Amino acid sequence: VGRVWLRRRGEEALYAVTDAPVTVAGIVSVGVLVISGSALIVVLIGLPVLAGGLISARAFGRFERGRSRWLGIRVNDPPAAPGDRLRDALVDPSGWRVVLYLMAKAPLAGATTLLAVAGYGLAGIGLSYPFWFAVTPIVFGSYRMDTAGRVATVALFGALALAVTPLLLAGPLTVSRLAVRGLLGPSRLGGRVRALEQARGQAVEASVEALRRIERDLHDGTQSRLVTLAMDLGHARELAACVDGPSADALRTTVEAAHINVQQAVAELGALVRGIHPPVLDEGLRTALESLTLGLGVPVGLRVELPRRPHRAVETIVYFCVAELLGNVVKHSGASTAAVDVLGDRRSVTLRVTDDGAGGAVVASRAADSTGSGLSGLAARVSAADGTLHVDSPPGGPTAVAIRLPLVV
Amino acid sequence: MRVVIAEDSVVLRDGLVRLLTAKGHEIVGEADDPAGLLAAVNREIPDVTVVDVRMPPTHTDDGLRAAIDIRRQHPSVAILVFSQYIEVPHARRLLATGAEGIGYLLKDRVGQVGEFVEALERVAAGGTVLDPTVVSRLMLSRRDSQRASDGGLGALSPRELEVLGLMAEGRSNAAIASALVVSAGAVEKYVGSIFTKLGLPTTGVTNRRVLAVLRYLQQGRAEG
Repeated sequence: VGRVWLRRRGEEALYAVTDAPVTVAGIVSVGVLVISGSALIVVLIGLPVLAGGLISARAFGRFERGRSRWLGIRVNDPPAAPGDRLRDALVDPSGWRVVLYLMAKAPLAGATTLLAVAGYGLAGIGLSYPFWFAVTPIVFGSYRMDTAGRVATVALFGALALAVTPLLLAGPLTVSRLAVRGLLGPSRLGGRVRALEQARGQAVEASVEALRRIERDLHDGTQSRLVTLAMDLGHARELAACVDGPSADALRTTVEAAHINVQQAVAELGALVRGIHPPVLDEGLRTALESLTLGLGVPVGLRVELPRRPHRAVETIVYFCVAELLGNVVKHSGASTAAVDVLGDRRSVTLRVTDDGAGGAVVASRAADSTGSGLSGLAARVSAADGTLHVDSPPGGPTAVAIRLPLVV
Repeated sequence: MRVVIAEDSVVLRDGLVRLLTAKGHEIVGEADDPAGLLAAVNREIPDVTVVDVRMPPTHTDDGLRAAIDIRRQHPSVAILVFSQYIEVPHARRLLATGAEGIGYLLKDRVGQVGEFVEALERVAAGGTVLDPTVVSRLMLSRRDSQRASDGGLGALSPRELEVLGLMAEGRSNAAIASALVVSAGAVEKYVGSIFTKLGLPTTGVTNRRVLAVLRYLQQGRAEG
């Protein structure tokens, strides 16, 4: 317990001593850009300068969250900026909150560091005094502090400074903790949104994983057994052809019926399982989509450009979106060609399915489309993964459906 | 035939052993993963191997990779790959290593015992057997795309393309004739015309039917 207490005090001292230099560095790197950007806002150059200031504010906030480890607290990252564009940086509340934080810290950090340096400095001088008083004794007016009693007094004073400084620092450090928690972490609403997003992502992922597991179990168990059964019955059917006797005909008819039925079952189960989770998806989206688009009856141009592999749940959603949309193309559009483009950037994947068919596709409301199938079902599935769906399908065509999903659910 | 079987489902593997043994073939090795398969092939140099695409460790295309490895190391060993689902990209990867003594079938086909064993024997004899699904799907994308102007296939008539598709399934002239309800002589004429239009040599040791099928599949690759 003593060791933990010592370590905590040591880390707090480290935080306090570095507080002023770090804050000054923050004010220089962030404040200069933000202030000059705001001043220059009348000329157009001001906006990018201000945005640069806010981006560096975010970076400084990240650094400060790391440093707050020494305060014994852990603060979650605020939600990511809405995008990479200039405007996104300007409206990102997290950056502005770091600016507020710097304003609060400017006087606070000065006091904290002054207190820490003075307190621990005095403690250091006092406690080490017995070892160097002979070389350069301290002189207070007419008092030379070089007798045993006076040396002990100085050392005692150092010990007192060492004991009191943490108590004196407690106040400013508490204020710093509040500032870090309140201004550098996610806002309360932001935290709530984050928690909900995580829960939604986990729900989507869990359902995809459950389907994968079902597919795997069926493949390893039931499907293998049924295929083997079909094979054995096929063999039995061959053997029954050579059997003679009173019930030979009945045997042949029965085995034949069983054989036909089990083959039907194999085919039906296969189609069902493929609808649950096509195994080829485990080889990546490109192979899975190649396999899907070949031989549909309508030639499909496929382009997949993904610098980073999306989360497995996202891949599954993209796959089933393409399957559903191409199914519509084949069934309803009368198109002669279609194209599937899957393009990714650092955060999201964009799917576009276009065809040159008759158009007129609409996302029906849930009420009108009670089965929840078709485009409205697709829209529901996409929004469950925090994605968006956009349909452009004027009567007479062509139809373009664009779906955007985050890389990670 | 001496056969090595690689299938991770014990039930199905035992079933295949039972069936092929009953049909008079010798099972010289059984494996449930690619490592075991390669070891058994190296040890036995069988006539033919039956390989499931989906096996441990990753349960994706491990069997297919093993089949391609076998093809590189032992070109003389015929390979019948079978799979729960037909994936055209898999067929292409397999056939990129050559088409002689190669088969790619849907697992469901083992239910048709006679045809399955016959296909296995044809592959062991150096033939090519492709699941009708592969052929029809490639056919479908080609016919609709109207882009068959390159590589010689564009010169083929619809009927000749149909014959070529049936050849890709590994059927003999007689089987093609009965499937299309034409005379054997007519099929021979179509086949000869296909060879001519594809510019395949009229003599030589290589099986011209296999070359034609390869051309057919490679064209599919270029379009996909």
